Amino acid sequence: MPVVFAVRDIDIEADTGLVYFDVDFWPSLVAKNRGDAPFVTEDFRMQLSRTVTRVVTDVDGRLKRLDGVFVPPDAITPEDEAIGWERETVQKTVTELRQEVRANILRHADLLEARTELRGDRRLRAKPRVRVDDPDGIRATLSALREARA
Amino acid sequence: MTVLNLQVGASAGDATEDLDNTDFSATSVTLRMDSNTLLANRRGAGWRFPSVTIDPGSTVSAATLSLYISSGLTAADADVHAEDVDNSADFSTTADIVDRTRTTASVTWTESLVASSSAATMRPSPDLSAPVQEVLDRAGWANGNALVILVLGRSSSTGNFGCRAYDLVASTAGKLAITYTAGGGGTGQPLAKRVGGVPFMGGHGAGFPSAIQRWIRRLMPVRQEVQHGVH
Repeated sequence: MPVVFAVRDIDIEADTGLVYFDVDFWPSLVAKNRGDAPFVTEDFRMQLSRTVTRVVTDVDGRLKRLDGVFVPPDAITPEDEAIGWERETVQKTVTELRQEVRANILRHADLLEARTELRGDRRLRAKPRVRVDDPDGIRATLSALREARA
Repeated sequence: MTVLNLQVGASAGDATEDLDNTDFSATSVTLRMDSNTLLANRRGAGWRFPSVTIDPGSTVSAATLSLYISSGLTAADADVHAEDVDNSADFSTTADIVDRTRTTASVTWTESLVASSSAATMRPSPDLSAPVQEVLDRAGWANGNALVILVLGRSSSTGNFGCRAYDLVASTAGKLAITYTAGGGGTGQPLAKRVGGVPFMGGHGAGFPSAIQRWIRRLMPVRQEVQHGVH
């Protein structure tokens, strides 16, 4: 059964620049849709970049060397590497950022699902629960900030 | 628990080398892991994550290196270690893979994907929590130090797999995800005190750079439910 997640909050850590996501997980879409509390909530701290630097390629995916010659990626030689590659820096699209964040969360969802299966922990599936521990006081602090703003 | 997602962010953040200590490169666009009975035919690579903002005393419950595998003709085996130092140098300052001190803990990665550049995909390593924990347990470990992961071809098989380096496409460079429970003995502030503004839905505090506010708005479309496995 697929794990379902929803991003509750997004923020940025001032001193590290990491993007912070507060993410709820449910054992199934059914559990989420019937209003069950998430069975676990995890804090993600992601290193994300707004730009990406890459080697220039043509429509066939061939890499452009500094001398203008295009080389198929499967045929790169040490000589190509020595000549070097033409690079470009572009802004990531919203779609690319979204896919990057999703991929990070989904990799963790795989882990959650595997662990649940390994333990045979049906309790998590049958009786979803809210995680009560909040060792860093993250949710408490965010709640306080919300109230202060209200 | 908290998940820290990091990615190689510089040309000198990944490198590759033959395990007989030759043919080092930190500027290759691909990184290769070769397993072979002959040392001279074995190859490895390393990835450096410069700001591992985890306090000393933290407990690692999972750690995964994800690589964008773009080549591999036959299954290959590799030993995965972390570099056993307090704060790893980048591959420009220390232009070496083989001679870096390795953690005692290691994990074997058997990669059986047969890939080509047109069918490249991000693949996770086995769980690396033991070698990562070994570094975080060092007396000299500090929040924000750099960590290097080393993947070295083994002698037990003959095969290879290759992945994209930062120098090819930065967004597909190696990624490290560490799932941990924060330790109590560190010098770093609790995460909540480092958060720069109030949650997005409530707006942002004074002094929050407008560029960052705009960026967070760009990220907001991810704030929707998605079903696991649907990309």
